[in-house]
Amino acid sequence: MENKVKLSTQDGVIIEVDKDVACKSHLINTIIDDTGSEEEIPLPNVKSSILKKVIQYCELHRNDSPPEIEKPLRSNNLSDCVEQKDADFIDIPNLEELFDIILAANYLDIKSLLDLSCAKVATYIKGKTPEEIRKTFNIQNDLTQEEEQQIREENKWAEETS
Amino acid sequence: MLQELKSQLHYLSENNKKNQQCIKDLFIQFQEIQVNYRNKNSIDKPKSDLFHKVRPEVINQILIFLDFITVQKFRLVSKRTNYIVLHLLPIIFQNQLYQIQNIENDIQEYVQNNPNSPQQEEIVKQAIDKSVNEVKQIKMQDIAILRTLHNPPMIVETIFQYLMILLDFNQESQKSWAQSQKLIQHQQFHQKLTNIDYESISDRQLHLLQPIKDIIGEQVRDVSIEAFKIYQFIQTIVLSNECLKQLNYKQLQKKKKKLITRHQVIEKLIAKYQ
Repeated sequence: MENKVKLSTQDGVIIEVDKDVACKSHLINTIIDDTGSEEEIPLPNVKSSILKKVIQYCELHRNDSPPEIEKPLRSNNLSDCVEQKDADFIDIPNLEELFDIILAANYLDIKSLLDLSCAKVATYIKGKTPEEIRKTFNIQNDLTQEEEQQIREENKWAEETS
Repeated sequence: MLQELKSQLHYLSENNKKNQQCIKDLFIQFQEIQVNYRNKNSIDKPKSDLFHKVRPEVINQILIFLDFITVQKFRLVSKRTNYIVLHLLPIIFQNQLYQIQNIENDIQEYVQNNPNSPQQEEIVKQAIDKSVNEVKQIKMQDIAILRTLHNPPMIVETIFQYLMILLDFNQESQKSWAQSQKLIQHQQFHQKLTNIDYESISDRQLHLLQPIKDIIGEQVRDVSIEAFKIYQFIQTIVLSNECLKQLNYKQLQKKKKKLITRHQVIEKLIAKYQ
């Protein structure tokens, strides 16, 4: 029992997990250091379905730390930038779930997972037109024509630096 | 009689070739449709604007994986993405400053370890520029002669495919001779050819052009002198680009220059929106 911790999620589910796996999260690690691992650790910002995915990731890296992901990404295919097991893990077709993982990784302070999930979202932006990005993320274009024109003008400065 | 049989045989073989090409094209088109379909359907569309769900600081974690130009283009998506990028400018500014400092350290370290390198690299660079300028004298006439070929030898077609990659024309032109023929007449083709900058070939193009190094020059020359000139042109450009990448000092300086220019652009934007 000493090697296990209980995590209580937003939707009231209690998940028991190995301490070394849970401690991949700096937040949980700090809580355990401060209060011990006997009591349930409340994670009010994380749903059980997302926590299970996060634990799956931590188990995947139980014995290692993934290398830093190259910035900016050199390819839209994440398999070219990260280990295959990580690329497979984050190949999530549901964007809402992917964003929930970003939020959970940020809250739980798991940098490598935050990087991986953010890099995945970046692959959906890289090389796309604004219209394609809007479609992918369900964003309404609320820019006025004048605003768009102004941004385009300013972007010309940026393009000159490429 | 023999003549007639010969011509019939020729006709049949031509027809066979055409059919084979049709099947090949159809297969390529089918593959493209499959890839497009997979890309379009590989993600579930969200019900709401996901970028409203996360704080700008978290979005910054996404944007740091994108190059500067893409981040700037992201401003065009909506009022909020524009606001986020502008809000993040000071962070990007600091990040660029940090990168400039890093690169300056790298340059100093490199010069300390290789004191003669800047001068030696300058000599190499001049030699590369000279050889590129020589092959750039390629004449449009040579290309025009090849364009008139209705059914060119395979090697000529291949060389043209590489030329289209080098000039960064769309993939269609890289696959079909008819498309290449059309493009050659286009004014843009001539402009791209004369203004080609071997320093700015992308890694993707360079990767696609690698097989040209395996082509034996003499074989091309035996088929067509004009195609050989184009082959020499492409190969020199590719090798020069690769050679330049070996010049560490030059690369570091180039990177630093780019970062400083970018830094100035960000500074300008910050001043405007503060």
